[in-house]
Amino acid sequence: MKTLLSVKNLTLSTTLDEKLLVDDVNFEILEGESVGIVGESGSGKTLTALSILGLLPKGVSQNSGAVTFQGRLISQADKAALQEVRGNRISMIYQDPMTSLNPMMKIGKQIQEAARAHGANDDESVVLKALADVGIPSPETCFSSYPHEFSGGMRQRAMIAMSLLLQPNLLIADEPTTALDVTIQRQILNLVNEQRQRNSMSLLWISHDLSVVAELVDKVIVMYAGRVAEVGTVKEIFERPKHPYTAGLIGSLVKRKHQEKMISIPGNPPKPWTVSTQCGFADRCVNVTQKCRDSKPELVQEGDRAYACFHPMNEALL
Amino acid sequence: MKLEVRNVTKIYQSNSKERTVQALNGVSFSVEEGAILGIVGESGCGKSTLSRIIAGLEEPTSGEVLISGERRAGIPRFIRKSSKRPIQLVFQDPYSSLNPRQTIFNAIEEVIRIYEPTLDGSALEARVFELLSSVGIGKDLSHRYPHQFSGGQRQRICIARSLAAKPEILVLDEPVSALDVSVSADIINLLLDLQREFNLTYIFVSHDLGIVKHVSDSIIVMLAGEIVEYGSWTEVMDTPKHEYTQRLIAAIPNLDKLKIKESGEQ
Repeated sequence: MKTLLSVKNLTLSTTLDEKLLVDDVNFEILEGESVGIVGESGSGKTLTALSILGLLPKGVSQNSGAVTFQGRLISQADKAALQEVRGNRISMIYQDPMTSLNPMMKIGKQIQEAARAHGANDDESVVLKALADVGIPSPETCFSSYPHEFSGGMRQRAMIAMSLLLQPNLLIADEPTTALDVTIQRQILNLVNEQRQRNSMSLLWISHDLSVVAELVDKVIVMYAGRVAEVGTVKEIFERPKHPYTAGLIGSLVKRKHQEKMISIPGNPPKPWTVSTQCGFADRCVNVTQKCRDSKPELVQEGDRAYACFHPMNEALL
Repeated sequence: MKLEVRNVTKIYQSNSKERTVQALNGVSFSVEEGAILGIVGESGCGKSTLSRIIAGLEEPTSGEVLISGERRAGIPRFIRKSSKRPIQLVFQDPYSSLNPRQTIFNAIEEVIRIYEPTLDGSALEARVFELLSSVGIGKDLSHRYPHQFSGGQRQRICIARSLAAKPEILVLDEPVSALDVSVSADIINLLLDLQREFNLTYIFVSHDLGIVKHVSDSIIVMLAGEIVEYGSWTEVMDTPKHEYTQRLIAAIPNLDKLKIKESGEQ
């Protein structure tokens, strides 16, 4: 398979006081592949995704890094190239559908507007079909409704319809189900999976929830304190996690006897800039040694997986 | 201390009385002393309204809440205020439930002053430190402000603050939903420890059946203001009767299921 998107040496920091936020992140997405980025708040997962589309918030600057899409470098400097890729080739859906839809505009109009902006067919029939495709029961009513008239799940469906209308090669989804109820979350997961297979597009799914990601993607990137901690297939990561952090996360999912202590990771995730010269997980790790505090583990490739740890876990977890 | 909720109904009205929303409809259940009751349901099902009514923050439109057989809801607030308050509430968001301009020492001291007005000086200080240490916060941190703590630590402080009133029943409204995955397991462990240590009764409200089934002795499933399933945790999990409960159970992420999916693909 060909590489669709590659991110190389991405480093981000705050503009004002140069605090490190994302530290040397590298990954690739192949054509048709679905990749998940898992991490806690502050791990840099969302910033990484935003930087792909050149959407970094004010106050965050990119110190280094190159994003290549379909063999072509896309960067902030080349606004035209960036604009061509945004929406047309790479679409993004966000966590909260209420804040990403315009409350003053009917849903149908918004979708038409998006289509027109990208030079696509904005016929009402096309939009209605897109709405029907994402499982909205009465597309005609939806077309002429305002976002507030819809539930969170329906709004997120409308957002997905809008993002798929342009048939992108890559869909970036930033925790699109976190604000939704569990049963609705399940429907949206199935919907995205269905659409991905039907349109043979690639998916980059960002979440704090390893279990959600596991059901949807081929490859998982685990981020911790602004760095990539581990990369591997879902099966490998779940059965033989190498990084103690991944092992801890999976441990907290393992079924425990009723009311017994759950496996937890003691302590709190650090801010990336406070651990720039050591292993970010050192203070919470079971395998920690002095080496982890003196130097920073690099990401080592081992077959088709990689991990950044001096003392990886050896035994299988499940 | 037994908690009983009898036929509680709550109807919200718009100011013009034109529109009404029925948040709760004929909800009844009881919890024995020292037991953990889990309440699950999606947003808008009335679980937060119910927990606020149990805690006495809202009055039911009809029905009653009894603690040890004594009526609580539906009696004038000024009478209730004078009696001791055995129920405390822990909220979802530890970022907004602490006063940002108050050190955590003061936040807890304030509560103790209400419920134990005779304590002062070093005895008061010792009680604050005791509460903080029971949730794993060292006394060297007590002069700090909420923003200097992480989400998990703040939730610990909120729990300490609710324990300062010496409650017998703790209503936990989504206590771990706002926390990171690796931190929430820690808080659940702490809550289970505290429950045993102080023989507390918990009302554990959450949208996440995975966590509710882990901590609860009995489970209530709510949908659109009504109880659709109520039973011991094994009954609800093993033989769910309502279709909605079955859907909730199917939505719990399950590692075994994942493995089957993986091996099935090969």
